Amino acid sequence: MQEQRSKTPVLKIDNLAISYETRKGDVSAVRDVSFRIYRGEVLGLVGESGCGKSTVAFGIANFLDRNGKIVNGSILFQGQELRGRGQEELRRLRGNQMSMVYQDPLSALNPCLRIGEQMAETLIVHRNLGKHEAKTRCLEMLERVYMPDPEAMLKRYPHQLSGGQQQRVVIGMALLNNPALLITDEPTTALDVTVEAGVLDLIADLRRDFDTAILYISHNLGVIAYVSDRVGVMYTGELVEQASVDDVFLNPLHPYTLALMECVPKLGESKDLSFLPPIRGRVPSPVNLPPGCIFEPRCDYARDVCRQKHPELRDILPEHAARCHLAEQIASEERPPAERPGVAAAAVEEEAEEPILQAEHLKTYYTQRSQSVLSLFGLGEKGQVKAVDDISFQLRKARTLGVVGESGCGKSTLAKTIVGLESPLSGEMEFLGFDIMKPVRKRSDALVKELQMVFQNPDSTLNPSFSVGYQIGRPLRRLRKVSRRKAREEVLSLLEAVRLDRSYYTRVPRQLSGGEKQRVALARAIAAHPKLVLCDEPTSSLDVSVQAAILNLLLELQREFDITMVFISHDLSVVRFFSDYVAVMYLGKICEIGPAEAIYSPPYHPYTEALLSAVPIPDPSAEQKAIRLTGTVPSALDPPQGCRFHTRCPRFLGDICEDKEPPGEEAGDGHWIYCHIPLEELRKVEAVVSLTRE
Amino acid sequence: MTKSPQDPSVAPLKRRARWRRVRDALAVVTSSKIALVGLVLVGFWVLLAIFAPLVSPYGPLEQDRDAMNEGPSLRHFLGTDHLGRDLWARVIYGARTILVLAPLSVLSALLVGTILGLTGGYFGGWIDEVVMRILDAIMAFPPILLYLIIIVALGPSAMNVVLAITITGAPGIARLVRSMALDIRTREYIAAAELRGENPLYIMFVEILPNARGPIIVDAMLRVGYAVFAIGTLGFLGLGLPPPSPDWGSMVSTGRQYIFISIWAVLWPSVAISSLVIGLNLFADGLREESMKYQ
Repeated sequence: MQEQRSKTPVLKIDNLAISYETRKGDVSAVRDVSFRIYRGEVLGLVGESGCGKSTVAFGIANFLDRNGKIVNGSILFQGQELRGRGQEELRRLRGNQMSMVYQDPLSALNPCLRIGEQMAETLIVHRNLGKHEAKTRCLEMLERVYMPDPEAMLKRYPHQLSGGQQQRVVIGMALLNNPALLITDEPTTALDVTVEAGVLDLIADLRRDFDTAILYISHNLGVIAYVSDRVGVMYTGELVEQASVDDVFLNPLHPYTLALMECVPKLGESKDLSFLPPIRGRVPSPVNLPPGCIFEPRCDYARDVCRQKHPELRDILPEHAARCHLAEQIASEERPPAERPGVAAAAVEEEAEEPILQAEHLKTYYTQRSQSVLSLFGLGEKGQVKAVDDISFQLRKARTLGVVGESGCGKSTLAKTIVGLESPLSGEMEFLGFDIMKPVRKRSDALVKELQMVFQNPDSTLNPSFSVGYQIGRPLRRLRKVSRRKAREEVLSLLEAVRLDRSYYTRVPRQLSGGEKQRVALARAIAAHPKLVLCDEPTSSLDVSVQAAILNLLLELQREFDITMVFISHDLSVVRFFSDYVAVMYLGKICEIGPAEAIYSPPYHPYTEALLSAVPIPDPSAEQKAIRLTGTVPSALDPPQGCRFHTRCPRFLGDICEDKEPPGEEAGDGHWIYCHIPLEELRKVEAVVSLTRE
Repeated sequence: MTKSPQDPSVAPLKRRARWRRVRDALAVVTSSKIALVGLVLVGFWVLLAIFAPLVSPYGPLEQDRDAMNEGPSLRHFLGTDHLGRDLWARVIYGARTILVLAPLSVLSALLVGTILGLTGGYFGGWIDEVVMRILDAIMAFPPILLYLIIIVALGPSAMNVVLAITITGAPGIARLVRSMALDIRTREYIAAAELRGENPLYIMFVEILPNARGPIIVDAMLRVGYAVFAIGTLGFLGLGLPPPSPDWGSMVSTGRQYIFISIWAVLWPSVAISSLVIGLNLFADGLREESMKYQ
């Protein structure tokens, strides 16, 4: 490392400031950002939405929108100043030395060209290679990025590849010319966890082989911890902390970083043991920044000096800079573990044994017409997407069932079936003694009142034409038959329960942030005092700190109103934090189901093991096994025979996995694993994750 | 912490919010120059129509046999027609008829079209197919032919004119509403409404329709222009309101016979129709541009 310090950094940014021109004047999106990246080093730039990290990347790559301009600072790329140069000069200087990988691989690839043509294009244009030579190099690169069957890949079009494969191709293209700098902007956010793990491994391998400097931008703390050497934390356009990855995660100095680390649920934390302290307040708008330190209104350590003077980024410890007046004080302090405000732990044990929700052999299939001419006349083959295939479970009152799985596993369909938005094909479902196999339109109002749902996308969960007060009040008036006058009072107290000010009663959704909209959706869901609330990935599109606030709110509401919950997510740490029982789903079947602690420790179903080993943990000191799945998720139209997982299973036994459906083995109190491998074998497996900081 | 139901802190908040929304809506109109020009033109005719008795020295049916087919003069501001009726009077009283019939027909087409479009878009399946095919069949007829058929079958009268325009206009509106309903139906707040057990009528008219109103309103404004045009055409073909009512279209038609003697009886009603249609179109265009600006 020391030798690298004396060489010139590949990228040196000093006091970079970028603004956007708007009708109301210039809005500064990035202020005073400085960092260096050396060859073979990965700098992770982390921050929540709106902090300006993508803007920094665009500024470096000269990809700002027409109304974006760099107002200050210098960008030195391989010793050459990039600012102030014309387009042609920039092209020459950057040339094939700087590449960028974006979030959505499908929009980075030209849908009309074959993969081979697109990849060869970069070589032919920048290096003047002949077609044949270019093709050979492309083949080499595809093998390097672990693509199966590279020869066939070259002839395919982008839409014929899966998301993970597309992203690999894009990364391969970016590295073809052996660039000195690779900028990646959230490259794995759109991918499933297991696929993401593969791509992250790839990036680590490639950086080792090619010695590329990488600027890795993400809002996912776990990914940053896994991939980076050094980390820069950004908040509303400023760099607030910069240090090695260990220092930032294990010994943060800036209050924002501290708060961020505390509010990420870590694998291994259950809801009884800890509390996610959210960051109070809202991210300030860049038009209306606080004087002095911009984090001060939300900071627990704030003093007068913070309000008056804007802090500079300075080295508090060697190679560890922070932008805070009180950083030294924070460095020397002992931080107590977060206290949960006065809630008794594990208050519910002696509950009724009767489950309030049970499903047996539930099946929901979607019919899909094949795309042939015959099908226009209704004569074509009808495929069936087996979204939910023979699921059985039970849920007791006031408990939470977490359902985990990757995209396509059927968890959303399961939620919609329980709630009545989809019609099941066969099976039995019972809720509070009612038979709920009917679609929601045929259910009685009394039943509908008890089953509500919170949806994933906060932007479309509220009707844009009506005020918050009206929308929360509607279920009150309709399902609980509360009179209009009393409803207003109830709505105001519900707003208070979700921690929103009374003035929100008249606001329209357009004026709310994502987190606030989700709170209103929560208030609406519990307004009718339902007994069961299904949460379909309610925090997936929210920032980490907002997610913490919503999760805490869900826990509070669950305790206060005694609600049973089914929580669906693809984020294993969130599910662990939140649930009493967990069900792991794969291609429409449950692989493993049981109490949360049992799922996250051995014995594991092989798929659970792979999932756990793929989750990026925001703790660089944690040890995690690396089990990577090969292949892609099979289509639910034609799932594999026998055990659904056998095509990708790292513990594949043999013919028995291909022929017979795995039986359920009870590994403990209510803990079932559906696998052919005998339990004794599975018990011998070590834990996938061991957190040193327990 | 709970205050009384008549909480004063909430009521003024609601009033202020509502007022602000009205002001925002008006701001859209005033910030587009095109819309303002259109508004002025339309406003001109509306005012004339409202204050017709005060502004016109003669009635529309008063004949003056001594002053037939005269050009503009001090006594007759715009001239007279072949029966000596004052053209100024006939034009502004004609404005009354058109300015009542055109919006009325569009409103009625809106009603029918919205109901059909929402039903098809929300329910989908065979209901959608049936509705759409019927509308397709109607749209297959050239509009003028359809007007002819309806008016000839039912007889010329104001109500039948409205009916004819409704039948020809509803399919286009239904198409638009249906496409918006198809899109909005996938939103999660619709699923939330279904989960509350709301009946389909509520979901269609309270949850979906208010969110589709933007394009529908702009389309309706444009259609008022087309309706004015259509009423003029019908009048010209002799299928509009029966004489002697001052229908602009039929004024043009009868004036045509005397066009070589006096062009005025043809000119003024034509100018009236054109200016009203242009004004309405400009207004609709301006509104559409403004509302699209921040999409």
